[in-house]
Amino acid sequence: MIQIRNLYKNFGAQEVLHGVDLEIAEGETIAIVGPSGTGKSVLLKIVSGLLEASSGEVVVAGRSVTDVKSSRERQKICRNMGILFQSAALFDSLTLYDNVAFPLNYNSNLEVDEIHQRVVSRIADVGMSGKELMLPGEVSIGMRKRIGIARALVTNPAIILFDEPNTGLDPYMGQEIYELIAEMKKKAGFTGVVISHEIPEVFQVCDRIAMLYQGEVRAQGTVDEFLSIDDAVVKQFIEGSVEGPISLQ
Amino acid sequence: MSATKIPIKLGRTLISVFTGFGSAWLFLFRVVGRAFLPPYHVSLVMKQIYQVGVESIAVVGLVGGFTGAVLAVQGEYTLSKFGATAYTSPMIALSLLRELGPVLTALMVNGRAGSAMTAELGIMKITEQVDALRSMAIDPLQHLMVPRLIAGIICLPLLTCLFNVIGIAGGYLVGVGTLDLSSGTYMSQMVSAVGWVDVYSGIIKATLFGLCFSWISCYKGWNCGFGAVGVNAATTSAVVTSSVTILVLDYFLTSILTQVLF
Repeated sequence: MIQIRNLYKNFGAQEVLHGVDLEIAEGETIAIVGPSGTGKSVLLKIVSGLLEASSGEVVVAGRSVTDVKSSRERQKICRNMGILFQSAALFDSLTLYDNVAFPLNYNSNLEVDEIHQRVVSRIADVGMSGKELMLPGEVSIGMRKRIGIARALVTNPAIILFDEPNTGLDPYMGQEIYELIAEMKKKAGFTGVVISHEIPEVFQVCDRIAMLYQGEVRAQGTVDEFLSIDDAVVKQFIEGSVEGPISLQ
Repeated sequence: MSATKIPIKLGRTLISVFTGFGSAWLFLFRVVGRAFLPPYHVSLVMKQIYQVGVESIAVVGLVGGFTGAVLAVQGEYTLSKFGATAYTSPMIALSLLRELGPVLTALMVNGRAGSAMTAELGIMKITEQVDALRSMAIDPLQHLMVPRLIAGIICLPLLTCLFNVIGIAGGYLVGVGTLDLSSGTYMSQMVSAVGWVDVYSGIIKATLFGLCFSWISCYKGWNCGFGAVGVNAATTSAVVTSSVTILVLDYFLTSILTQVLF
């Protein structure tokens, strides 16, 4: 479903991604983990077409995201994806209902009644019924993330990208969000990419894990495979140890 | 600073100024181009007209009324030295219609709505709301910038008309009410001295000021830096740049319109 080949990204002289290769199969959910500042969110933004790669290729559902020149082509690819942003990125001036309805109002030919039904159903799926008319500023960050998930799901996209879904949440709320992602995955059956640095919490929502370190994929495999990898960097990251090759740079 | 560093610094500053200038013009062309492409977001334009126009009525009216009143007091005092107080009303009307109306309205609306535009767009950018639009296959330039640019162009001339009417009324109230000018003289002198060309030269200016302040405000918000500091810097820069640009543009427009229209 998603193929990332020899992907590089520089910001001026700073090289963030250094030849990333990764394949994500249809229906699979992959967790991309790694220490902060290793380019996880940059990778996600390149896959979603929000950032341009310096070189390399990203193919999503048979279409190359990196070769797209026109905004219309990019729009076609975007329509196949939903994104949950780190900060949820809800529109401040719109109610929670309008936030979820937004992509359908602008990008679908559905009738008003059908849009209403779908929005109400997605809001119910994420457990936010009764709060539709509140503004994003009036609810907690956890609730905003729930609505962000509902907005990402409302167009029934084939791929959903989750950029650090638990950032800023307490452990209980974080667990709730992971459970919600797992539940939605069962219900909607999307291909998922979850960016996180939370080990082992992220294991519950993914089929496979890839660890990004210094701009490259350091290790990948199923949860069991990942946990048994004999690599000092991977082991230090899993154990959360201060001692080891991973250091503040 | 050593002597060799001065030309280097000057060169860098000039490159930065010209790059910014070119980038702002490219931004304007991209936004204007999108204004002619479907989908047309009429409801978003109406919302912006409300925010830029309707919400500025009170402040524009207040400033307009007091500007007319001050012009009446100053005009009556100055003209009385030449025994020409009968010309107070033409002086008030012509000053407002041709110059003070468009310029003061633009400065007031820029301070109120222009800064709000930059801050709102800047916050949308740093909180990933602009990325969210892109991720939903919605062009942020078309969705966010086009309605603001159109609202600026539509609202400024209308607010200027309001400013002029209230300013002339304020001048009338002070002139006739407290300075003992004759009501009939006030109206008749004004009607005989003011032509339509005076009215629409001010409207032309206001339209271009509307484009100018909304363009600069949107551009600064779109290119806002990171965090609260970035939004603060962008907002300050937008208000200062727009205000200076309006005053400089006013000089050139006045010169050109005086040659062409009068």
